[in-house]
Amino acid sequence: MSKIYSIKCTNCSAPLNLMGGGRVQTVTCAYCKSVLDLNDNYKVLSNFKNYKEKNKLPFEIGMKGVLKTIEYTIIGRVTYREVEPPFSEWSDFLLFSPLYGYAYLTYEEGHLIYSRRDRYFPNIEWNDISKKYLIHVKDEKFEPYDHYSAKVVYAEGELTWIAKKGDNTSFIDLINPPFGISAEKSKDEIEFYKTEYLEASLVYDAFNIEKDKRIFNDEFNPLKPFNKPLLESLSKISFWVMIIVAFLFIAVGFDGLGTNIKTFQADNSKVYQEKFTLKSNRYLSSLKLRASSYKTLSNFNIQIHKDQHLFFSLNGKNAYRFKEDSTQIETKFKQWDYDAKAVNIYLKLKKLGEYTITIKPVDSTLSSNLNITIYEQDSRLNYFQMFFILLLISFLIYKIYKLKYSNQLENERGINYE
Amino acid sequence: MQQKSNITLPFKNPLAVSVGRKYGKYIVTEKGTGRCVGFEGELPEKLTIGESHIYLHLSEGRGKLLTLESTASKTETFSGEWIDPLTIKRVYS
Repeated sequence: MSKIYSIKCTNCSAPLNLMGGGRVQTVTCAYCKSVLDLNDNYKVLSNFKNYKEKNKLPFEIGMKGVLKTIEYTIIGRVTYREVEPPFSEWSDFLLFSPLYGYAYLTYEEGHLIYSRRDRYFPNIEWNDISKKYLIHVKDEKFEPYDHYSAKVVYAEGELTWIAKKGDNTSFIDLINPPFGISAEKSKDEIEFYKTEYLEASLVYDAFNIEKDKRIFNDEFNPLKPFNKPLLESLSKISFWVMIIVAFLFIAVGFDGLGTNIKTFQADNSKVYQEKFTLKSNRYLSSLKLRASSYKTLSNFNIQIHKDQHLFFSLNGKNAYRFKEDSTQIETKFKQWDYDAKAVNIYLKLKKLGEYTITIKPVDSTLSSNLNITIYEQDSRLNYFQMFFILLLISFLIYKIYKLKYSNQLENERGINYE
Repeated sequence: MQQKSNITLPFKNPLAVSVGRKYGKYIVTEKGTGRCVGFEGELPEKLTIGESHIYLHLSEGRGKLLTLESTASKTETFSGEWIDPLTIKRVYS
């Protein structure tokens, strides 16, 4: 258990609490905002009293929370502002664990990034880091993404270094979402931090932040991984289903269209009777009727016999299938649209052999032509069409979102390769 | 964790080096002045409160570190490896 010392500000005599362990170098008085040097009798080093907060932040000094299984106390804060447009501002909250030392929680407009010091970075000169395409750190690859400079605009609480107003730091951000490396260079030091983008709600829960103080940001952040889990799953399923089905269709030479076993024309001048032979009862047999108008389509009665037994009948309005061993109706087919000029009828014919189809005009005075095509081994691929369309749409939506994310990642990139 | 070493560095004046630059196989990651503000327990040498020294931190990369400490009378180098606090495990309880 660490001891808590109570001391007073040498500028305004306000009480100060020290919570941050042996590496703390400065503490900023919460009242007069003087920065006091712990290594030099609390001498006043600078002052941050004129800083005006743009937005209220969700975190405060002294808050405790468990991040990455480590219990931390927020002991300090330093706020930076970019020296060039867009003059972004972010706050690094210094976290302290008596057992594991120091870490930072960076807050920028609802985005939250956790970082810890890391010394596994390869020894590349500062000016060469941005020139690399990828940098391997331990077993991970990081891509140099952005470089910029920022000044300290505000400090609060305890810090393990002396932060003065206007102190300039150069940053190079390397990314491998949700992880990253933040390379930071000041006048006398280079530091590398391993960073990780955290879900804001988890961090707010960890620090028990009140609901009305929680700020979320759904916008882009280079460390925030592209995350559309539902679309991604659908897209992956779609991709593999389409590949497997395509492979199977190719493997068995199946296109689903069936084999044409009879094509002929009928008209209003007489009764047509044609024979066709069914050699396969695999899948379905189909009857495809095409007319020039809905009136002519309705001007024919069609019957199909097998061994003189009527098993299918179609008139202008309805179609029926009869039982194999009687004249009872087995199925009444759904009526087609009133204005239809084409009809596809699918039948499951079990018996192979010769069938007879009879086409009889209803009104022999009405000029009518009808094209009849009969297929065997036909498959109702339209059952799959909607499924395929849905899969394709989800696949495309996912790809569009991903493309949008990639474009944004490129647009925000500060380090470009020739 | 570092220990004294006999490594010869490719520069003579530690104050003349630049942070972020490479000297031989080492990158200078920090330079500054340290002042003794307190000590406790057993130590391998005599220390004096207020005594200061120039120090340089150098990195060979991938966790390998070198520290140079220089006073008017002597210069010492220490080499070793960085230990991530999260990797320290309890050996016995």
